[in-house]
Amino acid sequence: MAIEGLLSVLNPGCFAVMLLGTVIGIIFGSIPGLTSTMGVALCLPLTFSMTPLNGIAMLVALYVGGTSGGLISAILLKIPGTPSSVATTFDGAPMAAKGEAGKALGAGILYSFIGTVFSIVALIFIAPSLAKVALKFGPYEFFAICMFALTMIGSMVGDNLLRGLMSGVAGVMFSLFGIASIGGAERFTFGIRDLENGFDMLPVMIGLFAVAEILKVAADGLPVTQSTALSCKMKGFGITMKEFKEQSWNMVRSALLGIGIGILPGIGGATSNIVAYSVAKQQSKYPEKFGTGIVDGIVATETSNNASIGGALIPLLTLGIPGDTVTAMLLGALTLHGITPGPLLFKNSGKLVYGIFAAFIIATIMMLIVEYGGIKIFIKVLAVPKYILLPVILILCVVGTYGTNHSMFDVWTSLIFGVIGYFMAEHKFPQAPMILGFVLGPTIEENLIRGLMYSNNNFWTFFTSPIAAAFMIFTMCMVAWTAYSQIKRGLAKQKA
Amino acid sequence: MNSKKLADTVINVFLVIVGVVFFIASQKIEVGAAMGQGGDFMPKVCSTVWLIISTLLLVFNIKADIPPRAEAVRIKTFLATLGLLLVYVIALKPIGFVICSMVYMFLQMLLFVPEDKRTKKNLIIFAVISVVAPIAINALFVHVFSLILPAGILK
Amino acid sequence: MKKGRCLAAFLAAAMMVMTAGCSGSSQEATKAAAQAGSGNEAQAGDSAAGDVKWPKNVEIIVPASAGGDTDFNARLFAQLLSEKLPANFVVSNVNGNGGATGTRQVKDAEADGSSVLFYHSAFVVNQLCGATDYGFDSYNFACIAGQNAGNVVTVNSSLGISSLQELYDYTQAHPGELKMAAQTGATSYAVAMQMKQAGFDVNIVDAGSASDRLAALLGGHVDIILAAYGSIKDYVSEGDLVPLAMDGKEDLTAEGVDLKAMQNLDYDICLPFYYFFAFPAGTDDALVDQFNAAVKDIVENNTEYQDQIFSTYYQKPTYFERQEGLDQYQEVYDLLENVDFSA
Repeated sequence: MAIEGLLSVLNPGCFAVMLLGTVIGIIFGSIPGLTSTMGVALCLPLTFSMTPLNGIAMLVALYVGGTSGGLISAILLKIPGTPSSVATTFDGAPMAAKGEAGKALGAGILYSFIGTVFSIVALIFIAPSLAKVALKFGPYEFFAICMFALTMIGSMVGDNLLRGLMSGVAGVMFSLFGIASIGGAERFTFGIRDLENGFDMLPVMIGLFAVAEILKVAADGLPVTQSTALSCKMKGFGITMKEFKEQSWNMVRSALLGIGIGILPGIGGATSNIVAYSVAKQQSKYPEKFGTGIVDGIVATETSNNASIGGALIPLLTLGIPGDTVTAMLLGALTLHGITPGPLLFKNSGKLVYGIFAAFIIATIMMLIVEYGGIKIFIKVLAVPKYILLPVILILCVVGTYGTNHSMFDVWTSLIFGVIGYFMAEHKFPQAPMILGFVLGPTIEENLIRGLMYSNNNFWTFFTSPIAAAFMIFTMCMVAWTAYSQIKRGLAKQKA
Repeated sequence: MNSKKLADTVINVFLVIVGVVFFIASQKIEVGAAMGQGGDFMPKVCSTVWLIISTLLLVFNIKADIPPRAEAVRIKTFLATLGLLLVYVIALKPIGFVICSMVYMFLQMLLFVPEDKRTKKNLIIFAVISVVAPIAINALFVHVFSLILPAGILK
Repeated sequence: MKKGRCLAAFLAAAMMVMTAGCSGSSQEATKAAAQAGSGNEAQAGDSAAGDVKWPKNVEIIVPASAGGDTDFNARLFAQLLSEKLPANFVVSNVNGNGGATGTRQVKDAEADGSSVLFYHSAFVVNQLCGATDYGFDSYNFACIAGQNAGNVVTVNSSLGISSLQELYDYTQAHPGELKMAAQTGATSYAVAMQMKQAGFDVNIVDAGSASDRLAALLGGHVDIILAAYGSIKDYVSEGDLVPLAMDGKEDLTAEGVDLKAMQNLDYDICLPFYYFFAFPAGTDDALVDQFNAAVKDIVENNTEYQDQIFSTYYQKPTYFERQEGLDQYQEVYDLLENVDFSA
């Protein structure tokens, strides 16, 4: 059956639509404001006229390309193309500024590929058992895990813990605006009807990165020297065998984090890239070098965000439960083709499932080839004067923010968060905690309230779940450790 | 107190004020009687933490020594850009994506371009790009991807 | 810039090839549909196209997430309507506030035919819960275009309950012990409240959207859910889940399934589940009529459509135009008015 499935993908028609999917995905991923979710939504109607496998293969290719494509603008423009590449900017942009754009891109692409391969392996070999574990995660466990993920803020704040915490709290705070998803209470709407639905992730990110960058250039002027590092003489993917060996544990760890986070419904690449980055920084022998342009950061983020793809596909294909907006679209596409994913999918449509696996593998290889081949073209973006490039990017951001929900309010959101982002950068408030707080805030709240409903308002019931209890203890340890190391650093500074 | 420190203090005072507003607003949330109490819990916790942290920031900042900013902020260009963005967003729906983007792009390029590059040739390049890019983007997304963008007066 | 333009050109060219390919096959599909059904009606829609000005893109706003039954119905219609009418129908999922965000967006949209709402009975629940303060009279109601087969009251097999009566007895013996999942302001909430009023003593909890609720039931986090039969049938045949009864008006009988409606089991619980189309108030009646003609033709004559809705969600073709549709909804309103949503 596996071979039959593989053979069903190996035809020119399928290859053509997949190549198209990969290219559109990379374009949507790399342009800030356009995401793979949107790419999949827009291309979904095109797949109606295709065979089920061709249609799904195209959408999977789009998903893979879109998740990886975000690294291009993250590195070259310091603006993440999608929420999955937020943390790629931290070391990618400094590398590009040092003239190592080619190396950064090469590494990002290579590790995107590796991350996807890891998740494919997980998907093919251990999907059903992993999915069963994921089912054990109820509100108690989700609450505890997301709280733990939130403590990652501690390792991202640099030398000012208070500013980092402020940024994280602000992120959670802004995520709470609007009608409460449980119970329907109106919060912080200040009589503005549009605020009922709260702020959307995408316009917030566009504001914090793209619009803020434009305001920053306006205030500070353009750097006098245009980046001179346009030559991209590099061998292979720009990193040496020695570096690859050094990064192997970072790579494996980030891949596992990516898969694990991807399986859990509701959190995916947008969380995993930041968490993997923070963990890599924390575990590193030289955490102070993070953010100055080292390859470790890119390895962590790009491996983990692509590993989340396979992670997200696991509950979709084994249980029929989508973990994020893209997999929800895929579920829609499958049902429209008359296929209902569930525990019997492997039994009933085994050929199709193996076809999807094969398509996933081929899409990953296509992504590698197309992006690698494109490095020389991508890098030319740096040759375009910023005073031309930035306005073009801004109007593309408008296309993305308006086009996603057709709401002017989203465009306003990106403008408001642009101003916020500018002042944050100006006064050294890190952006990553805000993004993390914003992504995790709703999940934390929903699961806290659900958990309280389940347990008849007894918070201690949360600790009866071993997984939840373990993560709560980790969380407390992390908080204590962060506080301790900050105090120690503070004392050391006073002595000096 | 140098200007950088003053700016930092202003920001911190602003954060405290916003914290107070959120705190008051979160006390006023009506939970309603429908299923699921507690829509006010996280906002209350969050705004309290916000208030505490922003107050601490304010206190520590007043004590700290802050070196002055190296370069001056080009306040005129900053405000002009902000104003331009505001007008762009306001006009987007009534006038439409294509025309607004053309005007915005051209003016933004003029604002960004360094003095020495403000040549006639560059101005022509700006004009061409400002006209071509919005039309091309609009054509691609509206006609190929069936995305809906504000058409405005060009309907 | 050069890079951008090259890519755009490539993309545009590629997409043109794609769309050309698509339109080729969609024409065939239309032809097939016309042959399958009565050809006259299909052409009636086309010939009237001259009098009405359709926008290039028509947005079908669906206040539900992708991948569910509502989204499925909307996308199926989008595909078939694009073939029939001189406009391109695009589905856009607008979630939030129990659907109120999407319904409001259409209410306030321009009445030029460029937006149409596709939603279901939750519209009435929204209204009765107080999430919205407007009804169908704020729209130019087009038609009821489908009827959900209803949701199944489903429990985990580990509970050892195999009939609705047993569930009733269990909840009476163990008040408040079983957790029933629902979503605030949605139809599942209305049914859960009806069950509670009918004497099922359960603890109603929130567990998110339909797919989240299924996951919660499978993981043992909740005990009772309402689910579309299509989404649980694999689990039923595996023996993990047990279906008990339907929440709609009709029993579900199909290939080895025989589930009674709770109403027919003498419980006062019923929520008919209709899908409807509604344009913003003030939309040209001629345009809506033409739209209705196209929908009617699809529902009544397109066998491909009929097969697909049945095989996926056990839906039977249903169509009620204008006032007839509103009359059906009045019935839903009257049923739900007795439910106490403030409890």
